[in-house]
Amino acid sequence: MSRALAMVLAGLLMAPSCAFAASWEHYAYPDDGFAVQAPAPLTIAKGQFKTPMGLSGPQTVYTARQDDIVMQVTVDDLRGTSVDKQTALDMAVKQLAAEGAITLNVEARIDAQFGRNLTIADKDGGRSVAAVFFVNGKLYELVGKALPPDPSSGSGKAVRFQESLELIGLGAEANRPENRADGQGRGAGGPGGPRRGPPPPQAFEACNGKALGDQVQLTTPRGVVPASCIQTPQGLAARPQRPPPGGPDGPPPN
Amino acid sequence: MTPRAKGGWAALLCAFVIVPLPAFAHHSFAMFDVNRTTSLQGVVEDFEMKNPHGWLDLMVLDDQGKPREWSLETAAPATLSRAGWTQTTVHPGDKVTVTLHPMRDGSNGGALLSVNLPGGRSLWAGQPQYGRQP
Repeated sequence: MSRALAMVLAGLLMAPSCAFAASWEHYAYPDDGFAVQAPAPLTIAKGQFKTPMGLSGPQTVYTARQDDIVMQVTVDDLRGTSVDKQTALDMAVKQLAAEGAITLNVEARIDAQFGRNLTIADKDGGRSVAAVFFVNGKLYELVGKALPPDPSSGSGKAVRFQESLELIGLGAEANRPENRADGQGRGAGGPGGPRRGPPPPQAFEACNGKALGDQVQLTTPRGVVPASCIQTPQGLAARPQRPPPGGPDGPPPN
Repeated sequence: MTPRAKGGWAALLCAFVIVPLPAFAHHSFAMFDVNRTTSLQGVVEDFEMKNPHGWLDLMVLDDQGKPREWSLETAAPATLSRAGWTQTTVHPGDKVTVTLHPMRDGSNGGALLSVNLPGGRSLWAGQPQYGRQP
């Protein structure tokens, strides 16, 4: 086969996937103190966890799915227990090991927090990458699972999901605009941080009837500012595109 | 304190301030094989210059000629900007050659080190280069 023909065939093979590449967005969940990037908002399910050790407590599972990958973050609230960090991490790793064979298990760090990054050859033929962290009594278990029968196909996206994990509310990263549902408050709720409320009512009103990413005008205490509609755990809400004038990170008021 | 001693203290302070910076990026490089540097040729699917890291998605033909999507992590947007990147540096459909630190587990991902653009321009992607060039 000539080189030119091979290039044409390659182009044809690649074209459909180029046309349907979905843009990933940043989704912050300040109530549970984390943020990720994903191709769609994560659905939230609340329940209870139970461990073989007999521990139980509130559990929130965040899930999204795209084509050949499933993305999930499970947050177990262990604040009502005496479980320490190492025990919690060991517990999570053991749980992941039950899904298949761990092929990589290394120490990982997000900002100043240390946990584990793992790769698991799943029993069902899939492949998962995971990140496990324990921060201020909450156990974070992120899994990006590339589905069978061809897990290699979704493995890059699974890695992207894994590497996007942010633990917010612990420092300066909580004040990045993308991690503030209302785009202006200092100090997000989350592990150890002061609890923040949902975006203000006007943020929801501005996005009423709008779609994700739509540009709107948001009234803030410091004036009307251009904003974008983002997905928050409470629904579609407007987030200022720039910090309001005179705000902590914004330009001085005119 | 003599000017020379002041200079010494300043240098020591700079060393403490500067040295830890790469280690305190958003996350560790634990999943990347920083001892290996490899290159790929592919077609750009998507480029997103976002905090805390940007991403370049490429469609790459594997050994069997099957298209595979690769997701490559870049440095933070501010670092990319300093290296000359903008949101429009690469476009879907661009044919590029990249160098990267691959994933340790063999996943189709890695830490992007540099990209050669269609016009022949080469840009560093802001990541610390731990390994040797291929």
